[in-house]
Amino acid sequence: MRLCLVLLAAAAAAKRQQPPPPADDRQLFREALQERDFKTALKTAPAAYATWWQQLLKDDPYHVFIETLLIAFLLYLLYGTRRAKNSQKKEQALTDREIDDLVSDWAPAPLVGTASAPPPAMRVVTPAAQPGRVHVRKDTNTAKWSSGDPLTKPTKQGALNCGAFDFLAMGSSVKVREAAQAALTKYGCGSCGPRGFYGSIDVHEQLEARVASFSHTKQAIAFSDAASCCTSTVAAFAKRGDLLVVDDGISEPLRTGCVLSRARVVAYKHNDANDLKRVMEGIRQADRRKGRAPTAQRRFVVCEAVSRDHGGDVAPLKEILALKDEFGYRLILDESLSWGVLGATGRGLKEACGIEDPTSVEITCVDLAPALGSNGGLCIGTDEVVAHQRLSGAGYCFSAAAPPFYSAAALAALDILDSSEGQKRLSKLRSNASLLRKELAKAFDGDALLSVVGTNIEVDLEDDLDVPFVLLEGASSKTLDAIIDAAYASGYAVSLATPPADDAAPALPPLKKKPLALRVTTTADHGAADVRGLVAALAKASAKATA
Amino acid sequence: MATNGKAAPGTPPRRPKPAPFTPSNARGERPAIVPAEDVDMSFFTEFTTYFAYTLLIAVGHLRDFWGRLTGRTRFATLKSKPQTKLAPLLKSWENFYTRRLYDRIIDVFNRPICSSPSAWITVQERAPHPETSELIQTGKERRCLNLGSYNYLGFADDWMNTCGEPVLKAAREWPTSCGGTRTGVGTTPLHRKLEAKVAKFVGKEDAVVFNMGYGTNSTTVPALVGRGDLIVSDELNHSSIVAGCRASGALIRSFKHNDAKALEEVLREAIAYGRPRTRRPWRKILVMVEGIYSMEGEICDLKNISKVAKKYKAYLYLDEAHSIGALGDTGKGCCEHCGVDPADVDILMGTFTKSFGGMGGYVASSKAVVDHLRRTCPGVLAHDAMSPIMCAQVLRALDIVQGTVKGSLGREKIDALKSNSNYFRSELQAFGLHVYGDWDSPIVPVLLYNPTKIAAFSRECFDRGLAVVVVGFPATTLVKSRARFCVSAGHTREDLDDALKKIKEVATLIKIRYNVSGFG
Repeated sequence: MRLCLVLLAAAAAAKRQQPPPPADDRQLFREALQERDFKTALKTAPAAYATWWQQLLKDDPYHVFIETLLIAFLLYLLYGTRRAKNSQKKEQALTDREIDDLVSDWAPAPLVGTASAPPPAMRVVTPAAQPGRVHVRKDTNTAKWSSGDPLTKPTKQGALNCGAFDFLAMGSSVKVREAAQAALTKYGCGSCGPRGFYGSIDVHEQLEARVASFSHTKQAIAFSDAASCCTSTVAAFAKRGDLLVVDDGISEPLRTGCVLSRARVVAYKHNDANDLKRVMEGIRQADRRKGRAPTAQRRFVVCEAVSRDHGGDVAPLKEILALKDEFGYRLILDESLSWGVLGATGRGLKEACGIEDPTSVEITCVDLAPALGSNGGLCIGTDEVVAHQRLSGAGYCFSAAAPPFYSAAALAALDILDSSEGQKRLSKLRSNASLLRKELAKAFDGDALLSVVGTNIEVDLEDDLDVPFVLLEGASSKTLDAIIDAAYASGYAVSLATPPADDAAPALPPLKKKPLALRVTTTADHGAADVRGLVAALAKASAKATA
Repeated sequence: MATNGKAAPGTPPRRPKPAPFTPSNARGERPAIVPAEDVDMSFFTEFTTYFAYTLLIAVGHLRDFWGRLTGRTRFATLKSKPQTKLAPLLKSWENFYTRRLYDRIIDVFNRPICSSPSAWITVQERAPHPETSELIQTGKERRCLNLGSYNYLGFADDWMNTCGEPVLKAAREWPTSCGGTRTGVGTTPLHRKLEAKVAKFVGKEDAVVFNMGYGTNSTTVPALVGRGDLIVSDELNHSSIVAGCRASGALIRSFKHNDAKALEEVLREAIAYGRPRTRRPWRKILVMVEGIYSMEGEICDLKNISKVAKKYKAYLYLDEAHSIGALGDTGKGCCEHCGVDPADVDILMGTFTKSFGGMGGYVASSKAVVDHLRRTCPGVLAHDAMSPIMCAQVLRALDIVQGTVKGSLGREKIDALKSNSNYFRSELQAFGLHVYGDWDSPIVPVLLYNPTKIAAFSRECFDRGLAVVVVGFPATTLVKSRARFCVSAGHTREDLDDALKKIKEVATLIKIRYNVSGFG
């Protein structure tokens, strides 16, 4: 190829060296050009070219012959070989008929695998006349729901609800319910649009301002669902190339956020500050090895203040804060189960750990359900954190705003929480929680079937606070099911904690296995006798199931 | 070409232009789909739009430079900070876009309202704070005609008369939150009743409901497909579908928007060549489409897409977020509108936020699939259950749509929505605007193109008492900014005439009559 180009260049040079003899047509053409008479030039051009060509042929026929050959060879090189390659490719490509055959051969797997076990028996919960009590029925016959009214209430007084996250018993508060009804009357039910597009109703903004001031942060942004708040927050800040150091016991919403962020994810042992330090040291060493500045990528620690799937373990926040400041990380803290619950005035884990600085945790997610008995979540933080999500938080931008009555109910509940009534409820809850944990630990020490998950021993809390729910691990869902039934028969409704399997997230490092467990909660409405009764009922149920 | 008057000579005649304002019926005898690319953008518009963005970006960088240099800026990210171990929280184009482009027209988004999102809303006026430039409420209010909310069947308008009674009863009896997941204590008889009713309504064996529409997609898709599976997704699918697909770990390929032929090509190639590198056959293929595309107003070409999916043994997932309740003679959504048997669509997903005036989502499918979701889907196992009060709302709305209560009201709502949508669309088209979308679709996007026209259109409309939604990047492509009108059954003909008069005024003022002239 190169040789041929050289030859061509030589030929062209030879051609240029030979002065072409003058001819009439060519003279005319040249003159017209000089006089800028383009019309004439254009007219005479074909004739001039023809004469030039004839002259060339006459003067040096071999030259013309060789040059033509060279040009033909060049064209062959350019197009001929490509076509050959294409036809080779075409030969490899499947014909339509072959594809049709392949299509008819292909047998897809069924959309869902054949069920190895029936779906968990859902229990249908109906509130009883008395607040805090519920009727529970096993949902066995699904056909009946489509016809007739299944709302007829059983006659007995129902069981105490010890399975729901409504720690401060706001769900049954008259004030909260009245606020919800008033909002329904004023705004109707749905918000009918995302926040950006006329879905921002005044109660949403009031709630955001109120939650921010309650938490002593600059701003808050409200999501219509707590889980999507966590998912969306992680994905809004961490991007490809960033680093997430996550607790290996995080629950599903945070985990999904980690997957969606496409950042690099490294796990540390659940609530183990020493292991977190080990991981961070490792990354620092890698930085040194690669000569990378630690400020080159955004780095976040992601953890839950109170673990949802691991028995209400409390994160060692003080140590985590010290480590993240030392190594240059930001903290995304999911306070879903602690905000409004822990701390002397319900400000969450920060208050419980005695951390004064409100900006020490950069990004916090809170859930309105456990403390305020409403639905939805908020992300709180600096102006930067909140403003960014108003355009980049997927769960905020691309989803309809929360129904206004959710926000109104939460506002009313927040009013209660921030009053002396709230103080009373919080201290009641605290004593119930501590009693529940103690009693359960006593009752199930060495039990054959159930064991208490999660311990708080390593956490340095100012008060002897306790998380108002406990997980009781069991061997099989069948046993747990039997225990739930037996507990219900003695007047206590507890629930099954069913964390989804981790295998859906191949992008993440292996996480800690979630226990199969019962969830037992206590609320501010319960008395000490209720808690003791609950533990006794569970012990009895467990004994019965063992027998 | 339905929306563009002039076609270049020599081009083959495209689909016939539909007769203006003819409510179509459900048996497929509707005017043909108007693909978005048939609405041509003139060279002048394209040039000025890109030029405007170039200018905005250049000026933005200049201002950034000046701000960094002098420290005189209200953006914390630009101010020099004491030495820190942290990388900046925000970087790159996104932050620049927010700061220098979005922030200039921040007043046209997030306008707060203090009334129900019905046909007429009360918008709270805002003005920039003299010092911080932050938008603060002035205390003034403005009554506006609402062309922005997804209040398709108008349940926000007559809520007290239609849904009020049973929902308020539920609010007296039930807490707002169940305080748990569906498998915990979050299933009430209302949930079960709703699931049965939804399944029956859409024509499937069973259904499961979720607290949030976004969460429905983002948790259901990972529960259905995973590694070794292929998702073939429409290129304009909603963010929630994209999130679900990405979280699933399956490989994702997209096909040209609403194009059954393009889908067929993708499927043929995928099945013929198998997985990349290993060339093993795919375990299964899931095709993801939407009933109505919320930014395009286009209705899914379900008839052809379902045929292709069936031919290639791919499973079909239809997101009816905007179409359920709004399309079809009896509001049963895209299947009914396109004359497709619901059995030919494997998974029917939808939301309650739009037509039913509530919140939440559902997935309806065969018993096996729904049971599988109940066993494995994080949206069922780990996320908060839907509020029982919300269940009551949706149950009631469904009853009305089906005509089991309030007589023919539901039918009247559906018919009113259709006739309003078609009337509004035909008027805008006749006026020479670039209108996207299909007949019968309640979403009517009008192209603005130019970034300056986004704000101008919204502000001028707002001054005339019209609340309209304008959308730009990143919800649309950079040059295809648009105003998106959502028509409701709650609008009266007078409302629409009034709105049309004002829109025509504004359209003439800011020059967006692109069908009349290439210069707008």
